[in-house]
Amino acid sequence: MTIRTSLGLFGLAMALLAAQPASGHHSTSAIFENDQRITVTGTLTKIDWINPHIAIVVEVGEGASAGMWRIQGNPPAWWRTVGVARADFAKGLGQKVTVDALPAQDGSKYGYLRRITFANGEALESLNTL
Amino acid sequence: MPRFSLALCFALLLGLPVAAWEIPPDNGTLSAREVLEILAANDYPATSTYAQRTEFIDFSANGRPFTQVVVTLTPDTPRLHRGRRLVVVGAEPGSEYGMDFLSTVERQEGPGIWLARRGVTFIALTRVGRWNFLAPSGDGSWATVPLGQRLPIFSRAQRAHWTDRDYEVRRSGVSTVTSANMSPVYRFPRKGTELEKQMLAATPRVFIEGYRLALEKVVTDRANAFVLFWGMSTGGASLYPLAKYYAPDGYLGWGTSSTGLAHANNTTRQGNTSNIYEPMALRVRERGLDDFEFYTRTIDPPTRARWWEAALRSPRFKSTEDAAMYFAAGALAEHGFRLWQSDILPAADRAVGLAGFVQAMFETSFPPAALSRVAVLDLNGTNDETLLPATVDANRTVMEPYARTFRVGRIEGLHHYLFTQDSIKVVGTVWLRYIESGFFD
Repeated sequence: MTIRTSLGLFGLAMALLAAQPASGHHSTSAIFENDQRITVTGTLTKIDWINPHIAIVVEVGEGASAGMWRIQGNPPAWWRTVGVARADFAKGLGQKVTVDALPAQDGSKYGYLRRITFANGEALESLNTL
Repeated sequence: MPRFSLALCFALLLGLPVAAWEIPPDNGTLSAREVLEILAANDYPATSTYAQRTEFIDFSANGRPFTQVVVTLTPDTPRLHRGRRLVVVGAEPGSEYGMDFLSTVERQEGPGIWLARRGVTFIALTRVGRWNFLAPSGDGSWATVPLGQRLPIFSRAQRAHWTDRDYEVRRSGVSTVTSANMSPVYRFPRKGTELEKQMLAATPRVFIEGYRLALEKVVTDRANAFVLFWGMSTGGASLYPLAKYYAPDGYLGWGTSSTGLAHANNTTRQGNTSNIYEPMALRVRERGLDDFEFYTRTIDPPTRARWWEAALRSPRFKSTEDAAMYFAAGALAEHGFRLWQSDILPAADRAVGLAGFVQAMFETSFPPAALSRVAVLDLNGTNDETLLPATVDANRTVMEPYARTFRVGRIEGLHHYLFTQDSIKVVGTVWLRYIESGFFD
């Protein structure tokens, strides 16, 4: 390998490294089905604005998905950099929300947040892949 | 050679472009060879993830409620220009709505996402009336509403679609669209209906006010943002007058329609003096398959059919913004008089007097004085179906005296719409190069 190629690969590797998104505590693919989506509609009852991932709780009153859903999301620091604060979620507390999420691999009432739509139609969505 | 290799490595390391192509000189054309160079390279790789936020802003105008929708893509790793974060504000074309900047008719990522992935904050403004607040999908889509029954929904408080008790259908007599400003089917509100009142209230200034409110809400750090306006097609006619109420740092063009003044000047110079008399007051102009075919003439029929199916999520109509864009003087006057004589206009809105009120109906058709502080880039494809090179040149003769700097650029072989991933990559790359060149500084 010539010096020129080595430096080129080093530069490319550094550029790729610099391009990686702020990562969370773990890869979503280890726990969630990355190629599937679920939609959960219920009442937003809790927001945990904590590291390494935020989490919200949605209570679904009836139907096959009835029960308490815990939906994990990107880290608080990521949300902060894109201009979203806990208060942006908290305005939906006690109200009906619709959540699109990656489902958990084990089929439990657990998911990874992609989009939350509030009762007034406003929405937040996280795109965490390059 | 070692020096070149080191330069290449440093360029990769810093994410700087290394391609040989250059932005075209004023009135120049980026050649097909240079387009291929851009496509073969990756001058601006994706560097950021982003959040997408949809927000509604309720406001009242001319005695009626309106809801402005704004969709913001905020990158976690902002791209800076002269130390300020880059923000591109997109205003949608005449048939579409803000979400078309996010997803193309190929159901792939649109130009707004291309920019966001490269650290540019992208703000999609939707003109009032074009977001379907009743969409089951919650994303403003019109896909579930038959094309022939679509009318603007100006407020999220509306609980049902307008019905044929609210409007009547008129046919223009043409069977096929041959230009960008005509359609076979029009819908008009019936006299005395709520739809008529709502459309009366939707004056050209109201569209601009919705835009202003949206930008005031979502750009919270104006001094730290480098804000460029991109009016795609009809969106251009809306974003030029916005400069009076919200000052940008420049105009980033692609397929950008000019002001009503420039349009009318061009058509009358060509001998067409009938357009300014077009009876389009309160008219909803359906933009059906024939309109879509006008812009996809070179696309094979099976592909066009797939694209059309995707395009049906868009409203595929224009409403009261048409008269301002085409400087339909009779329609603007009729709209103003009917609103003045209606019982919905609050006393405060009458304070300017009838003369001031009617004059205001024409305001958004003119280039504002604020343009004198910014640079305008009018970039188009040489195969644009509606903004032919001669049209762009004619628009320039009207607009250039009002801008600080006005520059025309062309890209060989590209069309009006950025439907394909290749066209998005080429235009996005060229835009970023123009910005880095200091043209807007």
